[in-house]
Amino acid sequence: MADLSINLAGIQSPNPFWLASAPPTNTGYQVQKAFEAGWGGAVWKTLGDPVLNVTSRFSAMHFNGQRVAGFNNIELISDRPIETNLAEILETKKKYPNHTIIASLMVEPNQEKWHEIVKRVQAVGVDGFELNFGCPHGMAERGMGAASGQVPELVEKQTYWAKEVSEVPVIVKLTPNITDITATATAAVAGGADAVSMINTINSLMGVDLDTWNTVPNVAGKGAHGGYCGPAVKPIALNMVADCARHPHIQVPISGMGGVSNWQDAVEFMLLGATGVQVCTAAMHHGFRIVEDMIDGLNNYLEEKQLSSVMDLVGKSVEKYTDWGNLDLNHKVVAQINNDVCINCNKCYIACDDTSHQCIDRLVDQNGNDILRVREEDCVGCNLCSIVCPVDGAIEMVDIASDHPMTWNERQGFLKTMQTQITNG
Amino acid sequence: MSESQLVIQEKQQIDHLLQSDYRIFSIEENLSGSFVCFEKEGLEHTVKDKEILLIKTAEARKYFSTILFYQRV
Repeated sequence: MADLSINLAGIQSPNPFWLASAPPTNTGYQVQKAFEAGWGGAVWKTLGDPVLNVTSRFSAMHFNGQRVAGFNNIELISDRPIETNLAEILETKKKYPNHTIIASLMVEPNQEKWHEIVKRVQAVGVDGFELNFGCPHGMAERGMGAASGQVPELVEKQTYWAKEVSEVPVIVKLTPNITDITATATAAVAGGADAVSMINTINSLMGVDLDTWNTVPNVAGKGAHGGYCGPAVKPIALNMVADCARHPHIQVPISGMGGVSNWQDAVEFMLLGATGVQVCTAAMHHGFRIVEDMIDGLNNYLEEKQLSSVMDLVGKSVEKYTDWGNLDLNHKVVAQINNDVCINCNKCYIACDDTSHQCIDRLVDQNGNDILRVREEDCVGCNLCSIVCPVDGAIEMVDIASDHPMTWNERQGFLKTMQTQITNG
Repeated sequence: MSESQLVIQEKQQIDHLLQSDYRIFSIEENLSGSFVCFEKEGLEHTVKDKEILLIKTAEARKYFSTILFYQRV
């Protein structure tokens, strides 16, 4: 068996699968049950001044037969007294000393408030803190969560205040509801963060009921924006994780989350720079025991790849992720249709002809059969035909290597030089 | 005319001038495409002739850029 243990900024965990701070980590009962199932760690549901919640709280986007493609919630942070939470954290840590417990914290942007909560919580023996600068709903209206997480100066200052008294590593959880997440990640690092985690949920409104015209979800006929998560947000999260991982001023470990639903997702996050992953929606959809498949799958993958430790995955794809301007303009990809497999549904033809580059011809072969053929000279390699094709193997995107790679940045660089030479005679 | 035929036509125009001892002197790019100025040298580095091609297709713009880029690296 490969070594699945991780070390995230000095925080040891038996495996990279943590439950994210959310309803699944609301109580000691739940976290202990999760540890029994195999989760390596849990980020306790955010502690702060106790709140009042509303019902209903959750809604989901089901898409073409897949339930919970996306998930939305308007639940706030823990609504239980801190004494209750701390007693359960203490008990859980005593029963599971080798599992990781991170306490998520959220208070007003005030030094005394941060000092008070950090000191009280670390007294029960947590392995680290996660500062919640990401929760987009409710708490943000009170100047906390995403509201302060969108202001780099506040991120830096509050991180600094937490670090002033923290004796354990501090992870800063970032909001994706910002134009450039590296700005707040950089601020967190400047404030002394030992690690960053991302992404928190995305501002969202799930829908409108066509009969009642109420928003979904709604509370007595009125709705408010919630936080969107689940499989649908994974591409957004991956981009933000990778952007931070390749940023020269964010050289701290990353705890990645946002749509992680299986071991494959976890591997992707780790390849793009995450040291571990956090999971919520998948656990809420399928229960804690999904971690069994995650552990088995990850272990098998590492053995297949002949890697002895899961840490060997961290960041391996980061150098492959760059700015558009560094991509080779002369690299060519073309579609090729395998008419032995094609079922002649014409989805590719319609997609290409209506919405892309009109490079698929409908022809009749010598036996009188309808066939589809790509005019490779007109194909721009957009992938649309293979994306809409319902049959595996019917359309292959073929790489045609370039003998003369040239990026946009290189092109613009030499054109500028050329212009300068002309100007200077 | 299909896009690929336009590309071929524009590449042929570029090749023709380069094979006729012209060299790319300057490039001006705007909303209409790339205006590529070709010059042919006469005696003692004087400009004997000048031709300007408006290159409209993306592939042909890549084509002359690549030729220029590899002449310079």
